[in-house]
Amino acid sequence: MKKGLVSGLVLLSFGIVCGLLLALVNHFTAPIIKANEDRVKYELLGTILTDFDDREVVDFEIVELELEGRVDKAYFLNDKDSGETVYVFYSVSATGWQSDIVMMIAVDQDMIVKGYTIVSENDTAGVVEYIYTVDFQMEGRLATDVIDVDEVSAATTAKVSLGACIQCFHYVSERVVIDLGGDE
Amino acid sequence: MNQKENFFKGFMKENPLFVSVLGMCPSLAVTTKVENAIGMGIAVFFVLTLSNFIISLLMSSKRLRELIKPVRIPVYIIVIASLVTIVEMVMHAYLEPLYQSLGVFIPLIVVNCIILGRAEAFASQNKPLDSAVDGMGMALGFTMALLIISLFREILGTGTITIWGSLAIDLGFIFDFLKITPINMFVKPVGAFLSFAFILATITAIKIHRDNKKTAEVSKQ
Repeated sequence: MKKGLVSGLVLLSFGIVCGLLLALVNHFTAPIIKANEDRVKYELLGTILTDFDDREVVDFEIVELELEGRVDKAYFLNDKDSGETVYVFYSVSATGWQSDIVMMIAVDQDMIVKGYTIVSENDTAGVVEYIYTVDFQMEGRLATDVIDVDEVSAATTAKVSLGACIQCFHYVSERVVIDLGGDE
Repeated sequence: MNQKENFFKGFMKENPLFVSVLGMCPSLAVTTKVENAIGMGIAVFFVLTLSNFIISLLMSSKRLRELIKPVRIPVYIIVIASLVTIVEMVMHAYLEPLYQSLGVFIPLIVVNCIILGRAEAFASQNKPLDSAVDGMGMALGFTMALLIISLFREILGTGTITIWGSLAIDLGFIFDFLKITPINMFVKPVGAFLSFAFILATITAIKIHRDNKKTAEVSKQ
């Protein structure tokens, strides 16, 4: 009994010492790891926007929000000094012809659509490519106005995939009101 | 055994990979690029040298030895796991591409037989300095083995040698000259086993040849 207790105490003390050592190393490496992860996210998000290069990553703090429903993730780029939200990026999906079409849509603090990209799809090859060539004419528009856009003229075969893309904008227009406090 | 012999035994005589055949799983998995072999080698060097030193230091005190002895394996694991986690955190912070490339095989160093094997077989029974030297030699021998396998696989599989980051040597001209394409199979798991088998067979053949030569010389005298 006594031997077991001593062994337990030995292990416990080793665990505490090693835990403290790891906490110390983590104290130094965690901010660097976070900054690296933010930089990767920033670069990915930055590719969506056309006028993003004039601001440095250090100006922003990226806050990631898990959501439920079709808009499943939101990335808030907040100004580090003022804490104000400068951009919000939404990861959104809608049902296409054979699969979900996932888009990333960027909106600024005034709820203006600043850019978008199709992240993934698995619709019929040879048909779905058409959606990459379409200009949805959403950039510069108020995000809540996109609800008026019902359809883009296209070949019939690609209409379902296109419709899914437009639906993505619709989902974001509903979400943006909640996040940025606008009125529909 | 002097310090020189202690250091160099890990290179060939007791090479952990080619002689003891320890730590094969991560070794075969990461040797798709020379860069990965170097990164894994550095990580193992740090962990093996320090774990050998710390364990030997703990076991050199008679009182502490008596306390640790019944739970020595869990204690070794705590020490090794802490060192591996430190390597992992530092690599994640400062060597992100390498960290991504080595992936799950960095945390798996904890269960690498070479580390635990040296702790139990050598560090727990020898002085701290000797144990650290043994750790360095074994780690360098392991790195050398990884480099040989990765060179073999990368050259044959992709026709390049990726030394570090964008620093790479393109050997495509040799393949162009021979009018063949790189054999992609060598960067896949099956290629790993085949490469290891080829290298092991070559080493064994050299060893047998050497032994035969020695025997012949002795019988002549």
